[in-house]
Amino acid sequence: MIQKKICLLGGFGVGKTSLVSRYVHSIFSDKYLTTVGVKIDKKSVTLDGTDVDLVIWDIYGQDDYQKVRMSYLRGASGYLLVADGTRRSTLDTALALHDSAQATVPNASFTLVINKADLADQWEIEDSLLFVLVQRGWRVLKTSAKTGSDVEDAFVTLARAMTQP
Amino acid sequence: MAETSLGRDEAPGQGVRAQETPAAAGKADEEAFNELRSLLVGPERRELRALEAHVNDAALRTREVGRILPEALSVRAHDPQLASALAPSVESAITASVQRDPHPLADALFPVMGPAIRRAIEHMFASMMESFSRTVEQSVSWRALRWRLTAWRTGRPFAEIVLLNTLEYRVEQVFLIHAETGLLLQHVSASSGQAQDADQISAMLTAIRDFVHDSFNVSGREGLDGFRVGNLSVTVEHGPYAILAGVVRGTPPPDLRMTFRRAIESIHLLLGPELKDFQGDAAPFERARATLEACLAKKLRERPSTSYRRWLAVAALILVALGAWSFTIVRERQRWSAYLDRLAAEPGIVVISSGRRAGKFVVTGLKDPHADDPAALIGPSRLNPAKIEAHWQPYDAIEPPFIVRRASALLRPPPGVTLEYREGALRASGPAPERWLIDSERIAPAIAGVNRFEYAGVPAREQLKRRVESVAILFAKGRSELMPEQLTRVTGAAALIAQLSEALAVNGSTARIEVRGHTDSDGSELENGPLSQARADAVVRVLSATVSDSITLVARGLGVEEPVTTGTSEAEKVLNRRVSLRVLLTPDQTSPGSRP
Repeated sequence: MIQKKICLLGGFGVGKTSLVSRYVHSIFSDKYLTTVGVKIDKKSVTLDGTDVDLVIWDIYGQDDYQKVRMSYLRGASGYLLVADGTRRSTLDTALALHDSAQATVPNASFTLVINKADLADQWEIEDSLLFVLVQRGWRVLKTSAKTGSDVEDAFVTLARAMTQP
Repeated sequence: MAETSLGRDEAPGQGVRAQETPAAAGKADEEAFNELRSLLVGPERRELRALEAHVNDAALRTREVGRILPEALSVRAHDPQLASALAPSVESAITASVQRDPHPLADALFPVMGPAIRRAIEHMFASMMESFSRTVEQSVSWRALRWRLTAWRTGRPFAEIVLLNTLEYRVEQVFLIHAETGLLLQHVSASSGQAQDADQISAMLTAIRDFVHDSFNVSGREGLDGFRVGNLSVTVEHGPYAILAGVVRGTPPPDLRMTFRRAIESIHLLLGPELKDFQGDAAPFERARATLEACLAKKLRERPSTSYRRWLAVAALILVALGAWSFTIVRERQRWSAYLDRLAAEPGIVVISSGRRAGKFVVTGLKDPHADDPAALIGPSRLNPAKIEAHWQPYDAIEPPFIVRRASALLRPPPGVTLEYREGALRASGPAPERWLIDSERIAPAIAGVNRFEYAGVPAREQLKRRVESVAILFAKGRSELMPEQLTRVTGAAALIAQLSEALAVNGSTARIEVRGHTDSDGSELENGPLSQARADAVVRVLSATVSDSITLVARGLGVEEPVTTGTSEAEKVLNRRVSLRVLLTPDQTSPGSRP
């Protein structure tokens, strides 16, 4: 069995916490996010018959008042960048966080997750923009924490990227 | 060869001209060759010269080596060979530096040493305060008394005993955490139920450590040594690649940190490469399990309620003991005073003083030798005889019973004779031999409290007088010589008279004994008178040999007067041919016999 540390990064209110809450096991309450700035969850996935335990550091979302503590990223093998598909600015925040994260953990794998795919009518992020990122080699997924579509995929994708040699 | 010729310095034009004449042609060939050579290898030769100059220029070489040295060192920075090659030089350099002037090194090390020393002192001080406060807290309790006893018995310092006994704690869980990722490498738990979420706790602990580290701008690798919430604390020991975190319930002892320290060190020693190259596979760290389990120390405290109950039991015991003791004391005192009362009531015993000395009852007084044994009186009082010390001085009690007892002991009255005492007189009654009466009369006044001796029966001298007077010494008809068979009567009379004289000697009185001669009615008056006198004289002659001065013997011839019988038969006449004795006692007021 392999353990990996991954982080959830994203702007405030992008639904990081709700994205994972239904699919992970956690013994800590959400108030840790606002106090310590991080909450630990756990998610087990199976890749080609190998169990991988993902220890998820759900890092409190960046907003105007609080910066993400990049030291929480130390030792992470990968991270999920989460943006809110209905707010264009959250993608910019995610891209900015990605730059910071690369400085801290340059070898970490990552996956961009655009959340709230269920709210298609309020969508602000054009697919063309995402296509540019995919062409750059990014893994991009649209998910919905509400319907659960592709959430499992997001973790599996990231885990696969991390465990590939 | 070529190199040698190449070494010569020749002009390049010479080789071209050598082709013109044979002599000149040889020369020209040579020149041409030289030229060709210089054309071909000229630049190399110049380079060689420059290199030669370079190699021989020590100053230049030094400059160059200096330029590449830092880079060279950094290239092989992780090569242990380099480290071991440099180590002796670095060591001797430091030694030399310190010998020359220790200040630069001290200044350089100061920022490092300062915090380290401070931390060590803080640690020591904290644990000292902890143990001190515990000592103060425990110094007056019942347990502390027991610990003092233990300390005294085992010869260990009291503080050590207190520490050993008061550190109640239990290391409930130990986490071995990868320092960089916060991933759990190994986990042991004192109870089996809490293992499943250890990986999350491990990550959270790391997050908290990072949080503290960032929030308070702690410099260096280490940040959080531990934290405490109420009764629960987490002790954290840092290693370069892994962290050991112990969850402790209760108050951990100061040396627990040392245990953790040693554990994390030994884990690094055992699994150094695995820690360094950790990629998420925790399997190799199963080998650290035993080391972690060794950290699961615990120390259980006695339940306070038990000690409370013990206190109660002790107090109750003391109360009971006190009660029993005071009851015993009171009862003993009561018994003692009862005994003293009994002694005081006892005739022949006079208590002068009484009291207690060295846990014993002491009594002093006077005791008549004929009084009952005071020790025999202890029995009914139920006192322990061993606890009584008595000092008795002998004395003569003058109570009548004691006078009687004393007299009985001294006079030894024969069976049937009883003694009684009344107003100074010791009075004997019952049939008593003259001999005893005589002795008693003489001895009794010497007994304390006895003025005189009285006898309720016939006095001794009266008895003797009667017995003496009953004696009759018979004679043959017409004869005045003592017949041999009558001599025993004379000596019997002499013995009685000797007794009488002894009885008289008691009070110094005297007696007169008339020895009277008699005849029968035959013969004439003239013949019978002298015959009776002769008979009396004959008896006096025998008696006077033994009689004492207090007795006066008088011989009288009475002829036929005062016959025993007036009959005329020969048998009756024999009884009248005799000598009789009459005792005349001198009247004496003090003599007991003088009063009827």
